[in-house]
Amino acid sequence: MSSSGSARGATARMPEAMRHLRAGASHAVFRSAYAAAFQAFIDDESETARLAAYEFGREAVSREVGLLELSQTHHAVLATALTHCSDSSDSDRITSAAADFLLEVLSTYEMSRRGLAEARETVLYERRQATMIRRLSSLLADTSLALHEHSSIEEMLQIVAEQACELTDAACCIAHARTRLGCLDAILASAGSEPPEPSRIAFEAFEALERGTEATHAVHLGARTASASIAVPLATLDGEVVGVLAIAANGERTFSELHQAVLVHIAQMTAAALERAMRYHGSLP
Amino acid sequence: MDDEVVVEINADADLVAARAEARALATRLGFSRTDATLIATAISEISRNIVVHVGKGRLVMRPLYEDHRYGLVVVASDDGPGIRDVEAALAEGNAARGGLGLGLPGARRLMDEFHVKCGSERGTTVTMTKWRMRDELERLRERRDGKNA
Repeated sequence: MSSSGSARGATARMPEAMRHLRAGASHAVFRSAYAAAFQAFIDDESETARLAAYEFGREAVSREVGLLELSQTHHAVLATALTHCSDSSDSDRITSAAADFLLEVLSTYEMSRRGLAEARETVLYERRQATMIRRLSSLLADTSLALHEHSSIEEMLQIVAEQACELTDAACCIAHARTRLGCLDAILASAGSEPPEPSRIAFEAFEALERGTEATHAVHLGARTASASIAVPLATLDGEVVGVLAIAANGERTFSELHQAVLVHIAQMTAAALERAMRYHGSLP
Repeated sequence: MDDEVVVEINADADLVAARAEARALATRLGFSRTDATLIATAISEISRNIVVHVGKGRLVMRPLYEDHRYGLVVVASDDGPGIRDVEAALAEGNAARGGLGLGLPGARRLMDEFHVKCGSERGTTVTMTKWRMRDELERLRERRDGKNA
């Protein structure tokens, strides 16, 4: 076990170079600040100098200094440093130190790049979700008039359950509708556990919702230590509950507010489709 | 647990000790220069977060030895007011530096595992791990040399 020893060198040397960097945006200013930080690192390859190099890179990212400009500057500064070398061992040492300096400077760029890659993935994911919801929406609109048969309502519920699972990354979904002909359930559970634990949790979630059907627009959140479930009512425009849509997750996963919003959206579309079909065929309970 | 290293974080200057200890441990565990730099950067971001938002805290670093991989665990804890919304703190756009991906979310992306735990009253604990996979050759050599981790 060792404790910290404080070295004030970084704070003593770095602000000087940083001040230059902040003072103006011209290439010459950036280059001289880079050269100063570089030289400090060559002279003393301690952790203090490494921290200063990292701070320099962080500042460069914050000031949106381009990677091309940074590379060019590094190359020019290194070339200048090498011209002052006394012998080949000296130039070897400087080249090796320059690589370490560059690693420290670029580590913040790497951090930023990973953030960008992640943001791009998020955008693609959200775009995919939007497309899926649009498809589900037009599917429900197209089929709602043909839902006169008990079996086709069941089929629709099955599609809704599948889509809800996929859009929310749920392990299980239960779509439950009550018509004059009786109750219909579509249960979709991911393969594996028998009996599926998420399925039981989803059942509990919508049973809890059914018990308190007064609050037709309420969302029931079942929070357990190792799982999560959401159940939302399928309510008509009059506020009558004609069914329930419930999802449950596996393991330690919990649903985000976004998942909840998506589920409410699907429930609204499903309820509207059910209502249209029931009104059209006079079978609204 | 004699491999455990503790660094108290009270000021910017303590980042030097934290980084030096992490780099030494990373080197002992066979991490590349690149990975050691990324670990040092993640540690700097976490420590800076402590200095800026709480004022003081501590880092505990320790090695993990498994047959197929070696890991470096960093546990950063403070006694601050805690993070009200962890998910938001880790999401982009909430980063202090205008969505450049630095700070807590930045550190998360440099490590392989990252968990934030908030106390019920106060305090935040960030546990992050970086792994290095060990190939067949390395394990064979170790067995041949009779070295035990």
